[in-house]
Amino acid sequence: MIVEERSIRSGLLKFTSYIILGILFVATIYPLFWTLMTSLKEYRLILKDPAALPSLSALTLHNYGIIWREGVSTFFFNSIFITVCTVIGTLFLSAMAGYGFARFKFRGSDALFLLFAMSLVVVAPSIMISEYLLLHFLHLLSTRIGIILLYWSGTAFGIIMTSNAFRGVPQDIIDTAHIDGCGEFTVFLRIAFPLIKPTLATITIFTLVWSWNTLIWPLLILQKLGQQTIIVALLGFLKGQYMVDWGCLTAGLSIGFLPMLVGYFFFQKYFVQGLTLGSMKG
Amino acid sequence: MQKYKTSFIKGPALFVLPALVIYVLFLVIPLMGSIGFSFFRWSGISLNDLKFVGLQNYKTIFLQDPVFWRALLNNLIFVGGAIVFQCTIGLIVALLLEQRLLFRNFLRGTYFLPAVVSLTIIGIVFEILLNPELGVLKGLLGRIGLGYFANPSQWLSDKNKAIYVLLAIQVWYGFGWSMFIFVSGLKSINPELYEAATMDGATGAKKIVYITLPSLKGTYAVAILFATLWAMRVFELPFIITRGGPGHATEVLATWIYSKGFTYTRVGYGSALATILLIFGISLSFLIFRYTGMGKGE
Repeated sequence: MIVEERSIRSGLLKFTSYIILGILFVATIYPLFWTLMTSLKEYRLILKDPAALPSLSALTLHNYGIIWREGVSTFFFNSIFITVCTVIGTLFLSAMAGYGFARFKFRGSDALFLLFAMSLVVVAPSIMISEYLLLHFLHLLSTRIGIILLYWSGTAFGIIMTSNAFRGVPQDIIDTAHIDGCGEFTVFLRIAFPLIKPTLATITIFTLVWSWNTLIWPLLILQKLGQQTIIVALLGFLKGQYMVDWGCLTAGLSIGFLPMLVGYFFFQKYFVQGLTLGSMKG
Repeated sequence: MQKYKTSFIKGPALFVLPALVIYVLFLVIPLMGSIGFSFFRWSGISLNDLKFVGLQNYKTIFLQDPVFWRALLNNLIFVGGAIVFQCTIGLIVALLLEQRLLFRNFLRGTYFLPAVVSLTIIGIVFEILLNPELGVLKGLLGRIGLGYFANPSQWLSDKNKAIYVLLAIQVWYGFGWSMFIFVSGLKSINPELYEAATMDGATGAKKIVYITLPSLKGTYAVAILFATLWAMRVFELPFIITRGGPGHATEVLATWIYSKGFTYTRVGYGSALATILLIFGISLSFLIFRYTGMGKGE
C-alpha cells in the first residue's frame, strides 16, 4: 500500500514537474524563436499574421541581405574585433597577474589583491561619467582601442580565478623548470599557463559573452557610426532605420544574438563548468 | 605551488604590473573621480566652470529630487523582485531538475539561454512583442484561447505597472543564472545525508525541507548577492523599453545618472548620484556577506 501511494505521489510529482518545466521551456524559448522566425519572413507575411509559423517555402534570407549591405557587416566586424582583442588581452593580463599573486609572496600582496577584488562590487553606472571624462582627456573617445583598453581593466575576475588555479600547480614542475634554466616568464608561459586550461576557458567564455553583449560602454564611447558594435547599432541606427520593417529589424537582432547562441550550443560544457566553479566559492 | 618570498620588483612586478597599470588607470582613477566630482558643480566641457560646492549636490539629491527617490525605489523593486522571483524560480527549477527526468540536461541548458543574449536585444525583442500595432501577443494568446487577456503593452504606459513589466523581463533573463547557482550548490550536498535520512524513514518532502534547503545556505548567499548586484546596475531594460518613462516612473539610478550626467551634462550632480549608487552596492554586498554566512566555508 505504502509503495503504491509513494509511486502515485512520485508519478504525480513528475507529471507536474514536466508541465511546469515545459511551460517554462516554451516561455524561455519563444521570444528568441519568434525573432528568428520573423526575420526569415517577408514583410507582408509578417503583417498578415505575426505569430504564425511560416511554411518552409516562405522562408527567405531577403532581410538579412538588405541589412548586411546597409551596414550590419561593419557593425558585426566591429563587434568581433573588439571582442577578440578584449578576450586575448584580458586573458593574458589576468593570467600573468594571477601567476604573480600565486607564485610570489611580497609586501602588500594582500592589499593589492584586495584592490583588484573590490572592483567586483563596483557597478558600471557608478563610474560612467568620470570614465567618459578620462577617455576624453586621453583622446581615446571614439576609438576602438580606447574601449578595448577600458575593457582590459576588468581583470579582477580572471585574476582571482587564475591565482587560485595556479596554486594547484605542483611545485616540482616549477622547480624542475628552473633547474633546466628557464626564466620565470618562460615557466609561466610554457608550463603553468597551459596547465590551467579549464580556468582559461571559463575566463574566455565570460569575457567574450560580456564584451559582445554589453551596451553601456560602446554607447558612451563609440560615437561614430562606423565603429559601433552590433549591439549599439541595433539600439540606435538600426532601430531607427527599420523601425517598422519587422523583418529587417528581427534579422538584425538575430545577427546580434546568433553568434552567442551558437557558441553556447557548442561550448555549453565550458559555460556549465564556469558557472559551477564560480559559485562553489560560496 | 608554494609561494616564493621576494620583493615586488624582483619577483611579481613583471607579471602584475601590466594588469595593475590598466586597472588603476581605467578603474581606480575613474572611481576616485566619481567620488571627487560629486563635490563639484561642472558641465564637463571646459575647466572654467568647475566649481567646488561641497555637499550641495547631495543635499539637492536627498531633499529636492523626487526622481532620485523614485529611481532608488525602482532599484529596490528590482532587488526585491530578483530575490523573490528570480532566485525562487531558479531554486524551484533546480530542485525539479534533480529528479530523474527526460531531457533534464537539455532543459537545464535551455533555461540559461536568455543569459547569453544581450539585454539590449532582449529589450528590443520584448518591445516588439509587446507592440500592440503588430499584435504578436494577441495572435499568440488568441491561438491558445487566452485572447482576451489583459494587454501587457497597456501596462507599459501605466505609471505604476510599467516597472513590473520590466521586472518580469529581467526575471525571464536571469532565472537561468540563479538556477545554475543552485544546481552547483545542490551538487555539493553530501549524498550520505540523504541515505541516512532514508534509513530513518524520511520521505521526499521531509528530505528537502530538512536536508536540502538548510544545506543550501551558502548558495542562497551567492544567489542573492548576484541578484542584488544585477539589480543595482540595471540599465538596459528601462533605458530601451521605456526610456525611464512614463514620466520617470521606470527611472533607475543608472538611467538617472546617465540622464543627469550626459543629457544634462551635470557632472557633479551625476557623480553624486553615482557615488550614492556605489555606496549602496557596497553596503548591500557587505550586508549579504555578513548576514548570510557567505565565505565562511561549510
